[in-house]
Amino acid sequence: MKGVSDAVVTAAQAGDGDALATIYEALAPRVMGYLRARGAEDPESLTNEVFLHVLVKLDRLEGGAGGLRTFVFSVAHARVVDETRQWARRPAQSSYEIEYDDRREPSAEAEALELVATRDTLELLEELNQEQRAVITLRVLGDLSIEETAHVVGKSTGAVKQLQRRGLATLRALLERGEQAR
Amino acid sequence: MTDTMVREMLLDADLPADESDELVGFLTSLRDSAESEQPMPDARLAALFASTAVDGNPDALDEPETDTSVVRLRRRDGRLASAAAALAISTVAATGVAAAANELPAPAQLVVSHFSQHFLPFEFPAPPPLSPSPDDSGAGQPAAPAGTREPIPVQEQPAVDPERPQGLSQQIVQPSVSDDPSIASPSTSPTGPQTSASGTPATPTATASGTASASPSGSPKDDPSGDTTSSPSDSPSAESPEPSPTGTPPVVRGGGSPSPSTTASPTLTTEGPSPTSAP
Repeated sequence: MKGVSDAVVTAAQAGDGDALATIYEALAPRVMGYLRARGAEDPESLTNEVFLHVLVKLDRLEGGAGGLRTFVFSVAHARVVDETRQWARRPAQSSYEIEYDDRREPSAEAEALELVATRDTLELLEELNQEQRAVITLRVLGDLSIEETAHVVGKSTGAVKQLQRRGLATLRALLERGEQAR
Repeated sequence: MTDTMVREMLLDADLPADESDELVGFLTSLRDSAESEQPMPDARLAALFASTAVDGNPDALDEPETDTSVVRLRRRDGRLASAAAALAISTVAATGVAAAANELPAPAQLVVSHFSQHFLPFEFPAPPPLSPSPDDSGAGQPAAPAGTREPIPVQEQPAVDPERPQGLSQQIVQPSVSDDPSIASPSTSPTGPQTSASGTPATPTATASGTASASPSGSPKDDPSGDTTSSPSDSPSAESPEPSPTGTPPVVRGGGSPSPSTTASPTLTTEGPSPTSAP
C-alpha cells in the first residue's frame, strides 16, 4: 500500500483533491480485492460506495494512515456483512445453467484438489469459513495488524489469532493435497 | 504486505515458514492479484473528487447531493399529505353541516340520512318526499325540522262527501228523496238499478216507478230542449227534478216508462246536472 502516509491523509482532510485521488488509487484495489474474496456480488460498485462513505467522513478521521486504513476496511467489512445478511433473508434466484452446475463431483476433497490444481486463489479461499476468510484477507490485503483486524471484525485479538491459525492451516493442507495430486 | 509480514503471520499461526513455501506463494499471489485491477470511480465519486478539487473545502463532502434531494422529496410529500388531509376534513365537515340543515340535494341527503341511521350515533334528517306533480298536495308540505326524526305530516285526503256524486254507482246508491212516499217504488233497492260499468245498457228493474239515471246527453234521441226522459204529460205525477245544490244529478221518478235513451248510455250518467234538470 504505497503512497498513503499521514501527510497525504492530512492533505485529504484539508480538501486536497490530489491527496484524495492518491488515497483512492492506493486503497481501492485492495478494497475491491477484499470484497471479491469475501464473495461480494458487485465488488466494484461496492468499492465506490465504501469510498463515498469514507470520503464524506474523512475530515473527522483520527489516527493518520493507519486509522484511515482501518476505517476503510471497517466500512468494507460492514458492507459485506450487510450483503451476506440480505442474501440470507432474500436469496438471489437465477435460472439454471448446466455449464455452471458443479455437482458432477460430489467429493469435497476431489473438488478441493481440482481447485488447487487450477490455482484459483479465490475458490481456494471459499474453502474457509467466513470468519477465517475475513481475517486472512484483512491481514493480507489490508495490511492490518492483529489489533486492527480485531477492531474491524469486532473480536478479541486472541480470537483473531485463533481464526488466523486455523485458516492458514486449512490453506496449507489444501495446498499440500494439491501438490500431491500433481 | 511484504514477505516478512507473511512469515510473521505464519509464526503467529505456529506454522514454520520454511516448510510453507506453497502457502507463502499463495498469500503473495492473493495480494498481487488484488493490486492488479484498479476500479473506476463511478459518477457520484467522480463528482465528489471534482467538487473537492475545485472548492478545496472538505465541508462540501459532508452531505451528498442525493441526500438533499431525498430530504426535499420527503418534505414535499409531507406537505401534500397535510393538504389532502385538511381538504378531506373540511369536505366532511361541510357535508355534515349541510346535511344537518337538510340543505343537500335530495339524493345526497337521502344517502347521508341512511348512512347516519346505520353507522352514526346521531341521525340526519331525511329529505322530503318528491312530488310527482307541482299541484300535488304533498308538494307544499313543510319539511321536517332539522335534526328531528318526526314523521312528516301528510295531509289527509278529505273524506268522501256522500252528497257529492262520485260516479254512477254512488249516484244510484244515493237514496232518492221523495215528498210523496207513494211515488217511491218499494222495489227500488238501495243500490238502484244495476248498471254495468262497461257500457252495456242495463235493464231497469223498475219500468214504471223505478228509478233510472238520466242521460245528460249523447243519446241520439235527446231532445234539444233537454227534456229527454219524460214529458210532463207522460207522467203528470212525476216530480220535476230540481237541481241539487250539491250537484247531485236528478233522479227521474214517476210512472212513465223511461225512454230508451234513459238507459241507453249508462256511461254518460256522470256528474253534472242533467239537461232535464234544467229549470
